[in-house]
Amino acid sequence: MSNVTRTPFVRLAKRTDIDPRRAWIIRVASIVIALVLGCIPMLVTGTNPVEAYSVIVQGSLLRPVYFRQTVKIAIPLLACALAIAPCFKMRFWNIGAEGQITIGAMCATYFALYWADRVPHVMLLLIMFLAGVVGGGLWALIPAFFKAKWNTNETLFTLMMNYIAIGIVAWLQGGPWEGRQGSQIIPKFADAARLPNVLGVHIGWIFSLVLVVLMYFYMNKTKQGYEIAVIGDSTNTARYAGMNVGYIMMRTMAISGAISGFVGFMIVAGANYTLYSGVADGVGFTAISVAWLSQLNPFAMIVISMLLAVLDKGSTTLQSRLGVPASVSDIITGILLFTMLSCEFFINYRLIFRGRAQDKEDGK
Amino acid sequence: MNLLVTLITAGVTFGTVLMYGTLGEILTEKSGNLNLGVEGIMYMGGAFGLAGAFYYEKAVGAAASGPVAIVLALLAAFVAGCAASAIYSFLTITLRTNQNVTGLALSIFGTGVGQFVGEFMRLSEGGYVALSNHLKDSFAAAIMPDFLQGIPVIGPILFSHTVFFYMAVVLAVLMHLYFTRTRSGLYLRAVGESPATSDAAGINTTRYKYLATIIGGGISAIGGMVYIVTTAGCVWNHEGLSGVGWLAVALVIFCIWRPLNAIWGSVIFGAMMIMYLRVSLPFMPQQLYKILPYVVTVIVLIFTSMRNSRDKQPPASLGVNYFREER
Amino acid sequence: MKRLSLVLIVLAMVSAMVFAGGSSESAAATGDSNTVKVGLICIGDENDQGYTYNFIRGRDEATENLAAEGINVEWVTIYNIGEDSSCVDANIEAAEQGCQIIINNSYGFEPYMLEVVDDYPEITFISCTSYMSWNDGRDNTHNAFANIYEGRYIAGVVAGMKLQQMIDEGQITPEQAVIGYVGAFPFAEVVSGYTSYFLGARSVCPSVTMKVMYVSSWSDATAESDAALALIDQGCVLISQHSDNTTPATAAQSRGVFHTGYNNDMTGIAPDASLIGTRIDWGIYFTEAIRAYVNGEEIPQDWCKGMGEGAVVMTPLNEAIAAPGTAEKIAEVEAAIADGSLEVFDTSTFTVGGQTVTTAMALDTDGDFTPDSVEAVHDGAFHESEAQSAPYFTLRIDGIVELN
Repeated sequence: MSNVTRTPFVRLAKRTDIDPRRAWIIRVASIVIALVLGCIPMLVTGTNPVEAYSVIVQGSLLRPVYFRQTVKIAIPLLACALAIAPCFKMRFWNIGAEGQITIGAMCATYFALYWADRVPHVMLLLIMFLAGVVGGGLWALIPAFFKAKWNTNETLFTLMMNYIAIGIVAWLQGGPWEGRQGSQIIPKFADAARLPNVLGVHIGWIFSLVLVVLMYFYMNKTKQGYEIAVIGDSTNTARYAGMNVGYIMMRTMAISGAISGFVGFMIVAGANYTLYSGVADGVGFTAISVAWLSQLNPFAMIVISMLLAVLDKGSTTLQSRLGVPASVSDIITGILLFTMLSCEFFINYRLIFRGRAQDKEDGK
Repeated sequence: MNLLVTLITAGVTFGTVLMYGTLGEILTEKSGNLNLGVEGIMYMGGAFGLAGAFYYEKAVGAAASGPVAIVLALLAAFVAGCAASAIYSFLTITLRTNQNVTGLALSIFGTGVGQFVGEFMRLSEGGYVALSNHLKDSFAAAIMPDFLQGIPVIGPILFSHTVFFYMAVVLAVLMHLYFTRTRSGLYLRAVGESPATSDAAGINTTRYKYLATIIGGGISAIGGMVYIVTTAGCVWNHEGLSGVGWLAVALVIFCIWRPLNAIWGSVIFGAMMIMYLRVSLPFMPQQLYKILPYVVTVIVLIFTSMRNSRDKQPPASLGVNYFREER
Repeated sequence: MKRLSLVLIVLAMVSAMVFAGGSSESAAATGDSNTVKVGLICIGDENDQGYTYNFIRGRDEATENLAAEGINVEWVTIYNIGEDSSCVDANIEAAEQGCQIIINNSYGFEPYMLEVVDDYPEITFISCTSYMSWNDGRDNTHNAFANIYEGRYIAGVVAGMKLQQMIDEGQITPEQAVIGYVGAFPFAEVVSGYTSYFLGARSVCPSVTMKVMYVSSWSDATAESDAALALIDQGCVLISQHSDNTTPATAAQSRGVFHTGYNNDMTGIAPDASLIGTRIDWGIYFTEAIRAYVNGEEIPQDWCKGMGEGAVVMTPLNEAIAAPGTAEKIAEVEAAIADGSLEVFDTSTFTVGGQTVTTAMALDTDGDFTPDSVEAVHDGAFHESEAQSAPYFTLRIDGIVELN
């Protein structure tokens, strides 16, 4: 297995420019391979894979109500991937979006529960939005501060912060915010604290699409976006260029956390209408894959998040209709991530096999 | 005193599960690979470990022997964990994918596979998958002689545990000796600290990274199996393992990447997870006990980075892929 | 942007596959009037050997009963759904599959179920063990529960007889007759359950006391096991439980103390510990509800039956370890409960803060989660599950200590 870099049969050369059509073919192939590999668990359960895939598509896209559910799943994935993009661009490995969503949702929920009868509808939503954004941003600032100050490992720090956030909400759920005693259920929000629906899905989908454009603009057309890119290439370069790396890290993380907090607000006010400890439901983790597979391109995130949402929603139908365990969706998602991650290697590197190496290099 | 003894004894039960997860991840991380797929790996270990024992018993019926079932469950879990982390290794080492993203993908994949296998067994067996009481007893049995178990205080703390605990302790000691006393262990740590330097020194970095990561995954997976066959009572539990893998990742930090620390660290973490049942502090709501391990880990993480002492850091190249031609 | 078109191509390919495989879909259509399609949304699966398993048994029993009457039930069972928005998806899923009745098996499903019901007014929605559907003004939402406290009372009697036998034989002193109870949450259903259990035990073993430990989860194998061990470490000689796993029974077995179960017969996994168990027989309700639906009759908005009707049953008694005479005693108490001569929450048998209870409210009408209407205490007893099927007994009686 370790032969790629070691054996004389094949060696690697970095491609500087690849024919876009070739890159395309490789990417399509990776998805096809993933779907083919995904047939294995279906065959194990004795299901016809073609039928299974068709059920997945039917159960996620081909009825208006299914399609709406799929979009509902895709919205937080998309918005959270947007939140993660600037951090990853900076090579700041924020895997704490899960916790930032949770804290954002928690802050928004406070106002939904206790201010619903005090302020008018739009005003309340605005307050909840702000609470979510500020909460998520501050939560993200904690690891960023330590990274900036003492270079504390941000991957591990943000990871731990997730479970602390989830634990705090678990406490609220069974303690101060609990509805019926012992039920562990926070009451549902009043109508005033719910996001309105547009075309059958909560308005968050419009916000998320707007956010795609904003994030594209921010990352590619602004000075701050440029700074992020420079730090991502090399913190030393950034320092020589006179940038305050620590400050930029904290600023970027605050923005990232704020968007994650916004995602939390959308989830509680648009989808769940209540808060519970599992409110982020893995979105913060899955969104990392969405962001990375999209190569941090906001527009590509729309497609990737929809693709994963299709698998997620479709598998529910698959389970209830064909009796295939719904965990198949996780398996296929995992395989899809593996193949799509791997395909970048074949786009970025050329394999040069012994014997043919010489003429290939000449030909290029 | 009695309270402390029972708390420690109880902490060992869940701590054993964590100890495997953590020891495997320490081995992995020593090679510079941050495998965030432990959660998925442990799920797979749990499902395949149970499957190993279950199908063995199904094949031989009442003649099933406890030790054989233990070995088979261990093997099945280990192989499953190796397979899962082989995927991770191939992607990150050979195909140079991002470690964080690949690890998270493995988490999703492994959780899916574990739950799928668990559900598949249930469906194909028409309802319910469990081992016989006879095998359950052999998994849960305390293996030390009675007179040792009977010693006050020390007996319950040291000698009242299952075979899996003692195996984990031995493993921790062996890993410690490997890292500190053997040339190969020294090389491995060198690879984790600076792959470029070790590559220049003629160490086969790729091979070290592959072996450490794959074997590490296998060890972590055993933890999932131990959870299912001891704590969960030999029954597949759909959500039972959720969060255990992440706790193991936290524990690696808490132990500052040292296998020997994992022995007492895992017991402390195990005790913290169930402390709310035994020690109630008036100012502390029950649910908040469960975040204690994470809070403690964060504090450890902050302090080690602040003091910046050389020997208490993560391996220097942790999470960073090594591209030879870019050195 | 490249990737956008790329995935569009893939989607096109996949949809081609859809149309290739789409023809097989129409076969599921249900035509004849004696076939009814029922959705069952479960929080776990049969592997829990407890809560969800008990529903699956009910499902299979109802299918069998109704088949004998010529009614064909086609089930859509959805497993492992969380008490979160995925429950909304599951209800929509069942509805879109053409289910005419949709049953939600967990308390926490109800708020999510109620988000969906208005979109499908022609579908009958049922939320088991919960309390908001029956009086929410809608016709298509229902609740159901059974008087499980009756079964727990009898399980308590069995436990009490065992303890009394141990006292009589000198194995323990009367003060050492302590029951440990693993509860999920300090929730009405749990409080009602352990109180009835305790009253049952005390009716035959006057010196008994009880310690309750909450694990803060309906289903957490680790915590349930350790709570049982912690209780045993504190001197409890008999364990009972209101949580979903079998690990308390395993713990009792490993420490050589006795146990009574819930939801399922646990004597198989703890042959030397588990005396008896009690469970709701959901088959009774499912049969009645589906039969009513097929015959065009009303399904009761809030269904609740007890031992007399067979809706609560005892699992087989573990004769090998139970106290002598237990089986006869069970029969006697069962009969007394069935004919109404025995009230489980007889106010003369317990005190709260040293006082006999004379008044307690059952229902909350103003939404502050404190009961404020319908007097539950009358005719010398607290009448549980009379005002609504979901339990509302939340008094903390003397003799029971909540440890956390």
